[in-house]
Amino acid sequence: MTRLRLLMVVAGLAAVVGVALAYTTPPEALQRTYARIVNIHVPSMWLAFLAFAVTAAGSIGWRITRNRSWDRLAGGSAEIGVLFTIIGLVTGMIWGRPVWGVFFDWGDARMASTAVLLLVYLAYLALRRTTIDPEVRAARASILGIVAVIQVPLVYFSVNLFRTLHQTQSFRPDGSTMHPTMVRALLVNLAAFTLLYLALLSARMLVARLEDAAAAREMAAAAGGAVLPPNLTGAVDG
Amino acid sequence: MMFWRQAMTIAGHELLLERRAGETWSIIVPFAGAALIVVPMAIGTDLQLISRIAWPLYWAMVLLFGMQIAWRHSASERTPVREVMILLGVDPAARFVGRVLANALLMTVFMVGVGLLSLLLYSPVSSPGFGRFALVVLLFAAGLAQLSTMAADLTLGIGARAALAPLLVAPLAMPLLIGAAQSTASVTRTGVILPWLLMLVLADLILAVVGLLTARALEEAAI
Repeated sequence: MTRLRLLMVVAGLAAVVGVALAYTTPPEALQRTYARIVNIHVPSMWLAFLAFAVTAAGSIGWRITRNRSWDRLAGGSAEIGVLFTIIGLVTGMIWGRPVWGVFFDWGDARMASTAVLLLVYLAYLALRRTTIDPEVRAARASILGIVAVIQVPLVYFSVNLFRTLHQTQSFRPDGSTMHPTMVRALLVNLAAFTLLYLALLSARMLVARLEDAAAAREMAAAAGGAVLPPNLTGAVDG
Repeated sequence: MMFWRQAMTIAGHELLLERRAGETWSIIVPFAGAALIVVPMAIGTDLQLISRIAWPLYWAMVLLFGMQIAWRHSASERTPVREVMILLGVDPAARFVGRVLANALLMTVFMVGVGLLSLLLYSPVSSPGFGRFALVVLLFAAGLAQLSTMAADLTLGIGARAALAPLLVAPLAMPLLIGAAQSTASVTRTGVILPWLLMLVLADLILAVVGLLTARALEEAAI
């Protein structure tokens, strides 16, 4: 608990520094002050990709070990990934209206593929929510968690595969297309968001563990002490 | 050899069940027909607009209604049937392929039926030509059948399956929908459909690999 609080405090401080740095960056030549939204938009999407990769890793971990902790990691990370995909999409739309003239451009490969990515992970969460048996839930969600991550590189490279409205990557092997002060602010915000992700994931894992313990207690109480709760074959609680 | 024999036997069994139940023809095709009638009612009397959007509407309809074929009630996916198959030593991958073959065939017939209805009701401004259209329908049906069969296993026994399964399939079927719709549109626009056909083939291949690799895990998750 103390470690979680410490992580949250550090993440909060890093976010404050990140926001302060974002405000000290000079306005962009064409987009003026709207360009500052990149400090939330890019870290949100980076975090979403990271979260979905962790979901896939958790799913693989569950398939190998059958340890419930891996399933909790996969589910918790997907929830955070969905949250930050929504933040990434909304900040993109807020920026798109004054700069592109539209909130959402269906012809843009990055925007459309991100919307599809969001739908797939909403379906993943719906599958988890509607499957009551924890072992069946873990088995089914792990398959989707592994398959769905194929989309992450597709979304990332969509700007290279299809030449549509969204600009290509600003960080390339031959250097950055951004001003060094903007790069500094963006990197600090990336670090702050990553710490925030770790803090949120730790908190979600703790809540999930408590939920599982409460569910086990409820089942034992419902059985009245005379009957033991069902033995979930192969379940390992970590 | 054994693999294909098992797959073909399962496909035949699925088709026999469907012939007896007639779910695709008696429920799903009329339901799609009702949807084809509802759309012009909502649009109004703009016949030119209806003709122009005929093919995009057709692909949206066959995606949303075609996937229903995979989780029809007569499909042999109930737990006792699965348990017997496991006891008999049927390869889960062969079972997956068999079900996909049956679903793909039913979806192809369904798509031809809905296509004829669309021609009658919407009078599309352009026609992609029989040969090209048949090829696109086959590739689309193969992909949708694979995706829907996987979703059928993932959602088996869930109360909210009727809404959850389409939610799983629809976003993942986007490459199929875009490939098919753009193939039809490109015939009249540029005449070049090869890139879109390749997109469909690639999506089908990826789905086949994923389906075969996850067949055992899906079998286990569906019990």
